[in-house]
Amino acid sequence: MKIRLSNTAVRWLPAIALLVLSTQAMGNTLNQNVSWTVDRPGTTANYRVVAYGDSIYAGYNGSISNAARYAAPTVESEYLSALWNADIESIRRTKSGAVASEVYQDKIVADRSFMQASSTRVVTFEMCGNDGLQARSSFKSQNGTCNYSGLDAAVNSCKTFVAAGMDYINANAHPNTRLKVIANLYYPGYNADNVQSSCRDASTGATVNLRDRFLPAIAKMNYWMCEYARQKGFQCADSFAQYMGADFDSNSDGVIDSDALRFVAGDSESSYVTRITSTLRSTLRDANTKFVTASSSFDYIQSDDVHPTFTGGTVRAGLWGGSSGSGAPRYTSFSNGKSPIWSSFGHERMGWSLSVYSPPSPN
Amino acid sequence: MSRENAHRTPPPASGGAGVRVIRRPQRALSPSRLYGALAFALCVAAGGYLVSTWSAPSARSGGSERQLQQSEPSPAIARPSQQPLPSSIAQPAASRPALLASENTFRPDFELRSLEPDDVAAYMRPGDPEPTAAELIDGLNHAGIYSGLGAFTPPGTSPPLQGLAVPDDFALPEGYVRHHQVTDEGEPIEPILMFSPDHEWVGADGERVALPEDLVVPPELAPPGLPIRPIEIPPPGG
Repeated sequence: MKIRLSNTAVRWLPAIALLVLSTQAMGNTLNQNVSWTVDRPGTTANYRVVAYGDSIYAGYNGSISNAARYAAPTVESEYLSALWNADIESIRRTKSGAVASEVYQDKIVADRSFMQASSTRVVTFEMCGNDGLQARSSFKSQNGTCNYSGLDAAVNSCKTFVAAGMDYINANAHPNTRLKVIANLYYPGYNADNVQSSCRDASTGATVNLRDRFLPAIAKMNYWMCEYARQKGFQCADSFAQYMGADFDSNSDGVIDSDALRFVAGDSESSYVTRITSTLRSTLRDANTKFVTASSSFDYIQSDDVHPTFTGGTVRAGLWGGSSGSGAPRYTSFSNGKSPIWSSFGHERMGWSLSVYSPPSPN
Repeated sequence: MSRENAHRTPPPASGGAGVRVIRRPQRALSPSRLYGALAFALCVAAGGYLVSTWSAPSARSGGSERQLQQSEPSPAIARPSQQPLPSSIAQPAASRPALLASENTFRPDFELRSLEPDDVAAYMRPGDPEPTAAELIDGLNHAGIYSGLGAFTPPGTSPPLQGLAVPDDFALPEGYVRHHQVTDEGEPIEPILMFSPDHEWVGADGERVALPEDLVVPPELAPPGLPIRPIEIPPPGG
């Protein structure tokens, strides 16, 4: 559906005009930087969690001037606050719309000073989602003979900058850092992509199912995020498994779906991709209906069909600048390591999946 | 032909000297090119205005972060954001326009907007009306930009499902699901009743019953005892 420019849009057309500047220089990303300190009552120790990424870690919520306060890294900070009985400063250095190369250069490298502080205990990042979104957008617009090179390029760029990001963090994060963790990709629009392409495959002459083409590409990206993590001293928070599989055993294979979908150290790329795209394909579900039991589901995806849902309000981040602030934790203890809302919202789920790798102590 | 703009940046070890090479395809004269020419003219005029008003140095907040950034600038990346900021936004928070001050009452320190050339914030001035994300995405797409934020789909692409309220104390019969949703602002929406995708429904004739494509239970298929009451979904942005 085309959205017509409203009166408001017309009023800021001069800004769009400045933004376009022919095809040579343009603004198409948005820095959304936030600092939020989980201020645990009665504590003085203060440690830092530094997160680099795109709109996911930004907590993008369909606004270009605000973002979720409790995006995944800040949720993780709340868990750490309880675990370490300390204040936790959640630093989110993010750029919505940024591809992997931009997250690497404009955030991890350019904003490295944030992870060089001696209070840093956790460094986390995520990237590649926009490489996938752009490749998908490009592929959907194709007519004639399908060209798959954009998908392959997205995978390759993802691999390059994930590895570079880990190497850079390893070389630059303060030695006090206790945990380095990457979050991989879920598949937004899994149901919407279950349609045929406009282009036709060169060998068969037939249109192709978009999801059949995109799923292996995402699986390859996710494999390398987790495999590089294994090789380079990072942990891998498997957002794909957490979002795309039910929290019960739907296919009676004896394993809870969301566990069965997880990357396993020692997987080869081929075995992982086959498991995701074929063996366990029937257990994949759109994260718009994340089943936590057989009779209870939660919508993990906002109305744009891309970004994770959240709770806990918003903070200023984006068009008019970033923000910092502090507040008491929403929860001060966690039964079995899970907050009461750990499975109710997309960001809460991702934050919990980061928290499972938390070191028991900060030192 | 792909609509995607190719972002090509130096690899980490390429010694790119901080110069980002952005290669963009040449296009035939098109409405977007004409629009671009108009934009260039506007840019020249606006540039003069901005140069005349930008005078104060960057004053990023954040205590130790600020000191670290100032003492250790990245050698590898050109940082357009380090250029002088408009004096109109380099003021103490208390003297900012109401739009900024109202959101800053609980946090006296914050980070100024980005002036990086690939950031849409660099093309806005304090007091400009703020576009919605949908308007921004639409504007980018109209300009032929499908990368960055232009690759996002706008809010409302997959809106919350309307359906029957299913109270917490209502015991769900087998085959039904209590589905929880939330607004884009993070406000919970009352759960609705849905069919389980894992349950096969068979009619009295033994034939499989066709379910609604979205699996939302319509009033005529609600289980006995469920009060028939549609939920109310808050309006977007509410």
